[in-house]
Amino acid sequence: MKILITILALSMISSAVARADLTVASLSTITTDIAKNVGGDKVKVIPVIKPGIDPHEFQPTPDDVKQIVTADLVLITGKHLEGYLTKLEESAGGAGKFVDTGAAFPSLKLEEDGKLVEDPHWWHSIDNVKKATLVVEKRFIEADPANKATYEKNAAAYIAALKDLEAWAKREVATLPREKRKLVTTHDAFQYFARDFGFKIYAIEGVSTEDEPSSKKITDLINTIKSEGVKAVFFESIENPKVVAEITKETGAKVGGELYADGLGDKEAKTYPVMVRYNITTIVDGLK
Amino acid sequence: MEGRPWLRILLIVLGFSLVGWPVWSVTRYASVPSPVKPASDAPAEPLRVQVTFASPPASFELDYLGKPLLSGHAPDREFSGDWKAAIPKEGVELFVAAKWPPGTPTTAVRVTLTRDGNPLAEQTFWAEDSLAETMTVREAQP
Repeated sequence: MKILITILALSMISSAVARADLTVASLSTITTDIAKNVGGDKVKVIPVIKPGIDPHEFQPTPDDVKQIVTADLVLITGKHLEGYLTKLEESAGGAGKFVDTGAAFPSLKLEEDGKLVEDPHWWHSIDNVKKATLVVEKRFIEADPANKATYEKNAAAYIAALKDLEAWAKREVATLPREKRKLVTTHDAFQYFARDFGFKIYAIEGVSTEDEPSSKKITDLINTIKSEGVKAVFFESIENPKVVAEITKETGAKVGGELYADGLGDKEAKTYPVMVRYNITTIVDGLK
Repeated sequence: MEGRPWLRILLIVLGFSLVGWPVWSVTRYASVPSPVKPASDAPAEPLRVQVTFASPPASFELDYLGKPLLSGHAPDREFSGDWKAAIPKEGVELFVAAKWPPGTPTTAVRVTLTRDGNPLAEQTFWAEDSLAETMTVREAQP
């Protein structure tokens, strides 16, 4: 009986995959979530970057390149996060099938080492994710017009869920006094969140996780945490929490918890809405 | 002296006292008055909040730090109440949520905050079907 059920399940899965009319490779866990929601069973999504992988340090393997070359569309988050993009476009024979979801809205610019850099972490603004969803919907319809109605229906449902998420987020953050909205994180990934919800960010590292903080920067940060009375310091799911532990020891601030900064995870952040709820709950509870 | 041990003891005690007094006076615990805790930067002040709807809402609430200040529903279109809060330099945030019956066209909500009868902040929100927005109130900069 068990064998029969397994065969039946496998045949159902294979027929679902066979029904997919579009193959989409995704270079971010965020765009993977958008693609799965908009595409439904009409799209086979290949998550090239999987949960828990640091997109700042990711480099595609030959197998990844093969999957990207054969895909109908390739979703990227843009804003210079995918440093290997030019090479990938050359391998794929041009930029035509690459969908830059981050191009749908303006970038925040951050000063780093005396020059302005684009902040690539746009998914921490729920409004940006709504706009990126519209970009994905449009490109899916262009690539597969036969399933237009499905993509429109799915995108509308996902955007409605994002609106509910936005309302929840505003209500939740409003319970935290504005003078307590000071967020110390491992790397500078929450500026879009800070803009939308009135936080001030103090980051240990720069925009990329590859940046190493100087001892002067850490000393300055420790002084700021003390003078501003910051209650908690947060570490990130893919970063080493040792520096955070040192800072909390020096300042008396507590460890606020783990945040998902660069994309989805395996545990509390399996989907985008779940990740947002987890991050906001952790931040608000930690700073109250 | 040899025949007066009590005198020797007295002299020793006197000697220790002479040396010990300055040492004790320097090292004794001094009770220093603790510094006065600084008063809150911004004292709590009485404020009046008024919410006006273009179309009566099916439900409405206005919260401050997660606690309801006002709530209500149709047929009323105007709600007001008194409230007390300190306004730090970062400001305070009010959360406004409302829902309208399905099919209600785009509508407007006006939130006005006054202190001693003088306007402190006001904001208009536009909504379709539902509203979940925040309003930040800050002191006017000199």
